[in-house]
Order: sequence, then structure tokens, then C-alpha cells
Amino acid sequence: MAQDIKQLTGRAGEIVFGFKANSRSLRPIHFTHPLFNHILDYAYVYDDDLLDLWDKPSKKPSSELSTNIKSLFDGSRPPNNERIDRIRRYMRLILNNDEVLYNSPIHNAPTCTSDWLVTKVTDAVSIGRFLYFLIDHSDDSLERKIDSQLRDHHDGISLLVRPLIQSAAERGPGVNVDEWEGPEIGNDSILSEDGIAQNLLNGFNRLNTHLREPHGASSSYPHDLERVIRFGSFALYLFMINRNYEIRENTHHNYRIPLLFHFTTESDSIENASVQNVNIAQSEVENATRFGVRLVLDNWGWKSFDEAEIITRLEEQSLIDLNRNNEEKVAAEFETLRSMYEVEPAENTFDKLVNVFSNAIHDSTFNSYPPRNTVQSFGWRIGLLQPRGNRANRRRFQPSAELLESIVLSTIEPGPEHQMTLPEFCERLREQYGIIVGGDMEQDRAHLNDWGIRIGSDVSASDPLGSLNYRAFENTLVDLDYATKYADGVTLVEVVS
Amino acid sequence: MSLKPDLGPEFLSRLARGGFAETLSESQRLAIHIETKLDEFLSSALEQGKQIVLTGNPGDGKTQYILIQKEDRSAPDDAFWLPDASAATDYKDDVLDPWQEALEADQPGILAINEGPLHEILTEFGGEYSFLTKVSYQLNHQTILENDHDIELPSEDIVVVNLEYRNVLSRPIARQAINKLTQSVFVDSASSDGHIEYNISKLRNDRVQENIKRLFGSLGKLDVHVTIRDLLNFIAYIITGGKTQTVVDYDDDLIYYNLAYTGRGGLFDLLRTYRDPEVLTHPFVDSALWAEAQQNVNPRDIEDARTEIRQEYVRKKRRFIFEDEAMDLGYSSKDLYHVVDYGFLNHRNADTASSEDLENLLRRLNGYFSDSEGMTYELQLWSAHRYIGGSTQAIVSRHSVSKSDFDIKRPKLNPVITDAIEYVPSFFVLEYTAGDVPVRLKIGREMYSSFQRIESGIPYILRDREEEQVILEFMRDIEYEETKSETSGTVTIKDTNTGKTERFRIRDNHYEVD
Repeated sequence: MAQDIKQLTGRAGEIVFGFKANSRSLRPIHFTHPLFNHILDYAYVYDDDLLDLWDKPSKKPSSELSTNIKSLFDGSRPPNNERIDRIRRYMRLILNNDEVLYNSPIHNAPTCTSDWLVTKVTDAVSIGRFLYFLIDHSDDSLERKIDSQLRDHHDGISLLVRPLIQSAAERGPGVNVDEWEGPEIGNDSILSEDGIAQNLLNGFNRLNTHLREPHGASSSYPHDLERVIRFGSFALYLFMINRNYEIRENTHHNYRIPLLFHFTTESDSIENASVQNVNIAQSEVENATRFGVRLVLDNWGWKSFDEAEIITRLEEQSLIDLNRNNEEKVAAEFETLRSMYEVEPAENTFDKLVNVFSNAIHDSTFNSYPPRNTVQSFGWRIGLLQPRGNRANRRRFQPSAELLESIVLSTIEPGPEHQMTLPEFCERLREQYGIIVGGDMEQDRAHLNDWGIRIGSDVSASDPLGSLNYRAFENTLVDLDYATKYADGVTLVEVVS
Repeated sequence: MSLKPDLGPEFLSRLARGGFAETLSESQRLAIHIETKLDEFLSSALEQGKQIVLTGNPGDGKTQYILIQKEDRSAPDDAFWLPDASAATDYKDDVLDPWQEALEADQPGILAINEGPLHEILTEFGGEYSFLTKVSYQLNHQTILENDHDIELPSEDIVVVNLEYRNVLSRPIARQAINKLTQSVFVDSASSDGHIEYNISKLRNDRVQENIKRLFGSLGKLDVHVTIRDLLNFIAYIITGGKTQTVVDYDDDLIYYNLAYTGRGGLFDLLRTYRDPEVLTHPFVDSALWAEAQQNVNPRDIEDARTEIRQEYVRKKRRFIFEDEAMDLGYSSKDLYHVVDYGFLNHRNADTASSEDLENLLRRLNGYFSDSEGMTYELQLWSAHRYIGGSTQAIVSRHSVSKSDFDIKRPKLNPVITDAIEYVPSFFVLEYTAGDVPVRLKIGREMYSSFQRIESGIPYILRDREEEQVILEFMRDIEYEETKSETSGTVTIKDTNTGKTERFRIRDNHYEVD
């Protein structure tokens, strides 16, 4: 069996999104490395000695480190192994701030403030290419600023790793620097005027106006790298949830998918609606993937299968590789597939197959991690989704302060000449990204209704979106110093240059 | 009861519900007009032929000032008066064109407009009317940092005064407000024994007045704006309880110290939030008042009457806030809430920052991150880096900046309006002065208290993470301006979960470990 279920999930995603998005543990740092690799055209390759040093001291004690590495530590008297272990623990804390510091040349992804810490990370390479595509198509100065910041080594983290890099690392090719090939579906119109990719590209352009130019030989501001990656993370999420709307011919929607940001703590109805909105967004990713499944199965030649052949292959357990070694589990899962096939109501045989395998890859039984699950956990990791209480499946849109900062900076340019009223700002958020906070009740309601999201009145307010949520959003912007409230309900949004 | 036909309890009751200057008669306006330095400032500016833009929040008294000045002026028609530009339906026709004509005719005058509409006008018509540039500049420079020599003084022909910056809870304003509403309006309290007369007689008591002024003074230090209307509402309400006629057979709810906690408005909210008698505790006062309450209720079973006793206790405690002397418990009501933050006040109020002040502040700021005693001669800079959301596991420091690169600055009113209003800054600023652009950290009471808490031994891990981000942002901006070695330096790493640090030097591509 050449075709397996993980391959199906991966390819289905690639066809509609243009990248593999079926990683359970996808974190921004994963695509940060390939993205920076593309900007720099190189990466750093670390000796095994250095990777040993970054490993957990409990796993690789200092007594087992190479003499080359240990000789980097000296003092009035040579430090003993315990002392070096202690230093290593603290170094790991810094490099592992993004929680992906493994002792593996492939999956190791230390946080990076400069090129010294950009290494060959093979996870999320195609996502890195997608983001590079957006950056490459935006203002030239954005790539130049990122490149210039990465080549600067004045920051504390670069100084911290300097002796290690000089001794045990060298510049290398990194991942293949290729152009993003784009999705196989709808690639021609990927940068169409009203498409989400174009809006994200515009967002990168606006964000760029806030990023610092290198000044002098010593200045360093790695915080701008954080802003780029945070917005890139948001861009990835938004691109994925909008894909189904953009590739389907008959979407029956007048607006792109909304993101109802929940800011007020006083209204259950906003929270419930936002939870519903998150579920709809995830369904959109699932629906886009289903579309991809159809194309993959067609490419695999399954359209020619007749009913009898399918049943036979299911019985013989030869239809697809389920990536299982345990024979009992394989038998049980094929049995499940067969049951699913038998109860599938579609009339056409191929339609039945498509539905069965679309359902299967989204079913936890088959341990295939589909893009829907990726956006679910990724949205939470980047600070866009917050769980309701401790229930992971009841998440709503509530951006963290850091993420909201990047979104704001991608929406409004700096300086008083770009100042706008809060309703104008809200409308721009809605038009550009589909974000809804309650700035224009008529438009917001129409947008939400279009997707079947309804907010009722609750005990605290008859119109919780336009009153409570809008005010809470306003207060958040004021707290972040992006807005000023004046008398008569006038609030102006401005990012001080 | 009322001595003047339109200054009776009905008028006070109207004030208690929020009265507007334009709806008051001349005698009513005069009766409640609180004279401040702004009256003199406006008269003088008009004499000099200037135009004044009075802006701020609704209830700041803008219209009142215009009407009073207009009445005082011998030839009011020679001047330009626009008592409420906020209400204009067409800013061009109703506000900007007449205003421009008046300016071109060198007419003095006053224009009153709420701050929100003024900003709207500036944003929408800034390019069309050149004089709006001056207005915009002044509006954005109502306060300046001391020694800020780059701030150009505003032009002479237009002066903008933003009453948002005025502290109306100062003692002179509070005293006048009480006197106006207890004397100018009702002068004959002996003719009746209703609740209004009772409350007025209490508010005329020196000790009660002193306690109100002290209470207001303490609330005025909070970073919350209170308007003149809030103040008058408050006093009118604690006199009348919103009743248009005095109630002879009244219960406790209509006594001023209970009314002070039951009204609606900005000042009532402040009082309930920050001076709630149930929250302000004092072991001796509380035990004495509880015992009295228990005795007054005199229950057969204490457990059954606990709610009743508590209500009686709260009434007594409210009374104590205002009538401490009369209750004779041996303590002053200010003991309940009066905490002087000398460190903060010293930084905020001193005329000029001494070297010692700066060292003190740097020591506290260093102490925020360092587990050893903070340095005084330089500021250690910390930074964090993380692409994922949330706070970092560790922060790193590699650089310190000399004390000489910092200055403490206090905000003060722009000299052009110093004589117009009283201003109490709620913060001071630590400024990094050695870069191309100044980098500033705004330090208010809350942040200063955090420094003190950490200095007094509260563990670092209990810090406010958002506050820490503000400080780290300040440090990050300084680091961008600093020239530092790429090859050598001392690196300190702090574990944000345990608060512990590790430090070593990097030189010649080696780690020097102690």
C-alpha cells in the first residue's frame, strides 16, 4: 500500500492551503527558522558538541561534554561540572523560551534574536515559505529591516551564545530556499484584491511602518522580530480559516469569516457567540480539507473503484495504510472504516469514499492530525484563543496583549496624520481581517448573521456587543496606549511614532 | 424656608440630579459659582484681546464660566462667545466660520467645547483652518515635563485651557462648594427641623467640613477626573437626598453621611470604591463602634440579629468618617485612610530632582529584578525574547546605563496656563536622556508601590506581569539607543519562575565563571 492516511491528511492540506499544516505541536518558532533562513539565504549548523551542551543536564551531564566545549568555561579556577550544569540550565531557559529546544538537529528550534540562532529546522518549512512569500511581496524595506536585525549581534542573547557559535557552529545552507509554490487550488487568485492574502500583505506593509531602521553600528531591537512573527502567526491562522470561503464557488456568504473578539467579562452571550464563531472557523478549515481529500483520492485513482472493490479492499485491509503496527488496532480501524462506508448516505461511490475518509481524518480514532486540529491548538498557542474556564474545547477569540499589539500595528500607521476614530478603526479591522468588536452595530450584525452567529440580549445589556464588548475593547486599547478617550464618547486611535 | 424665590430646596434638588448652567437663572448661577483663579485668568486674557478655548468634560463648568464672564463684561457684544460648540450640528457653519471671522476681526472671546468634539474638529478640519494648528498644538501641550526646553510656548492670540487637568477636589474649591450650597442658598436653617435643615447645620460644622475637605483631598490624589458638576451634585445630594421639600419625620437614610454613600455620580463612586467604611478597618474604632451597635440593637440573640447589628455598625462608621470628634472615640477618621506615601510624594513634588532622588529611584528599579540590593549608580537593563504568547521563562541582562544618563522629570502645567487652573500630577517620569530621542518611564503611585513592595521582601514571582512588561519595554527602548560591545560583557540570566539569577562574563569568546 503506497498510500497512507497521514499522507492523505498532509496532501489534502497542501492542496488547499499550500503547506503542510498537520502538526500537533506547531509553534511560531518552528516556521520562524525557515522564514529567517529564507530571508538570510543561510542558517547555522551546530556541532553535536554544542547540541549536547544545550541538552538537559540531567540527560547529558557536564561530565560527558566534549573537552572542546568545556574548555570554553574558565575562571580564577576552572569551574566544576556542577557549576557548568547550573549555567547550562539557565542558558536553556533563555533558548527554550519558545519551548522547542530539543537535542535534535532536525527539530531543535531555539529562540532567535540573530542569525547565529537560525538553524536548519525542517518542521513547518512550507509555512515559513508562505510567510516569506507575503513578506517578499510587501515593501522591500521590510525584508531589509529583518535581515539587518538578524545580522546584528549586540543583543544579550547573541552575546550569550557567542563563544559557542564561534567554537562549535558554522554557516551552512539550512533548508532549501525555494519559492512558496502556493496551493494547487486557487493559486492564480491568491493575491486578488479582496483576498485575505492581499489583506495580510497590506498588514505586513503597515506593520513595517512601525519597525525600526538600523541606526548606527550598535543598535539592536529584536523586539521587532517578535512583532513580525506574531503577526505572521495571526496571518497563518487567518489564511487557513478563510481558505474554504475563497476556494468554493458557491459559498452563500456575503462576507469573509468573522472573528468575534470577546473582550467584555460581563456578557455570556458574547462569549457564547465567540465560542460558536471559533467552532465555525474550525469547520471552515475542515471543509477546505475535505475539498482537498476529494482531489487527493481522485489523484490516487480511487474514482475508478466500484463498490465491490472498495468492500474487498476494506476487508483485506489493503485500501490504505493506517500507519499502525498493532494488528488488532488495524483490524478494528478497518472495521470502523467499513461501518462508516456502509452507513454513508451519498449515492455516488466516489462521494461516499470522499466523505468516509474526510470524516476519518477528522476522527481521533485514526490518529491523523488534520489542519482543523492544527488551527485549534495553534490559535491557543499564539494567544488568539482563550479557553473558557479549563475547557479546551470551549475556546473563544480573545487575543493576548502581545498579539493584539501586532494586529493594531498592522492596521494603522504611526503618527497623528493617521489618527482615526475608534469606529473607523473597528471598521478597518472588520474589512481587513473580519475582526468584529462591536464598532458598527449594523455592519457587525449583518456580518455575523451571514455566518449564522447571533448574539441575544442578556441580563447585563440589551445590546452587549455594541455596548459592553465595544467599551471593553476601547478600554483595552486605552490601556495599551493606542487610544485616548475624550468627552462625549469620542475615542481616537493613534500609534505614536 | 427659601429666602429667594428661585433658590429653594427645589433648586438644590435639581443640582443633586445634575443641573446645567444654561438652564439656570442669573441668581442661581451666581449662587453656585465657585471662584477660582480661572475667573481672573479669563478676565485678564479677555482684557488682553485673546481668544480662549475652554475644553474638558461635560460638567467641568465651561459654559458657566462663559456666562459669568459675559455678564461681567461692560460691552459683551464686542466679544465672541460660543457657550457650547459641542452641540453644533454643523461645525463649519456654526463654529469654525464664525470663529475665524472673530479672529480676523481681532475680537476677544471664549469658546467652550468638550474635548471629544474638539478633537473631531481638529482631525476633520485641521487642514482647512490654519488657526486650528495652534489649537491642536496647545491642546497637546497642556502639561510639559520640567526642563523640557524643546516645547515651544503657544502663540499669544489663542489660549487653550483643558479643564480635564483641573483638580476640583482641592481644599479651597471644596470649601467654597460647601459654603455656597449651605449659606448662599439656604441661610435660615432655624426655621424648620426637616432633614435638609439638619444636614445643612451639620455641613456648616467646622469639624465636619474639615473631614469632607480631607476626604476630598485624598480622593483628589487618585488618577480619576472629577468635574465641578460631580462636586456640586454630591453636596446638593447629601443635603437634600434628591427631595424637593424637606422631610420632617425622616429616618437615617436621609442623613448626609448615609446619603454620601447612596447617591449616583462620579464622586459617589469614588467614595464607595476607595473610602468604604466597611473596608477601611481600624481595630479600636471598629470594636468600639461594633459594641455600640450591639448595645443599640440590644438583641436577645446576637446570632439572629447579626445583620441588624452590622447595618447599625455601618451607619455609625459612616458617621464617624465625618463626625469623629463628636463621637469621641479617641481617634481621628483620617486614621482610617490616611497613608502618606512619602517616597512617591517626594519624587513627584520636589522642585528639582536631586542626585540622591535619582539614586534612590534607580536602586528601587534595579531591586525590581535583582535579588541582591539594587545599585544606585547605574540601571541594569533586562530584556526578554519569545515568539510564543505569554510571559517568558527567563529574562537576560547584559548592559547597565550610568546614572548620568537619566533624569527625573515631573509634569507641570504649560507656563501659559499656570495661572488658570490647579493641577496635581499623578505621576513623575524617569527619562533616559543620552539617546537621539528621550525614552521615558511613567511612574505612578501603583508602580512606585510595587518597587517598595519588592524592596520590602515581597517575592519577585508575585510581581504584576503587565507592569513588568512596561518596565521591560522601557529598558528595551534604552538598549536600542545604547552603544555596547558585541564581543564582551557580563550576562545575567534570571529565572522568572524562581526569581533566581546566574551571572558570568563573556570575554575572548570564553565564559568567565566565578
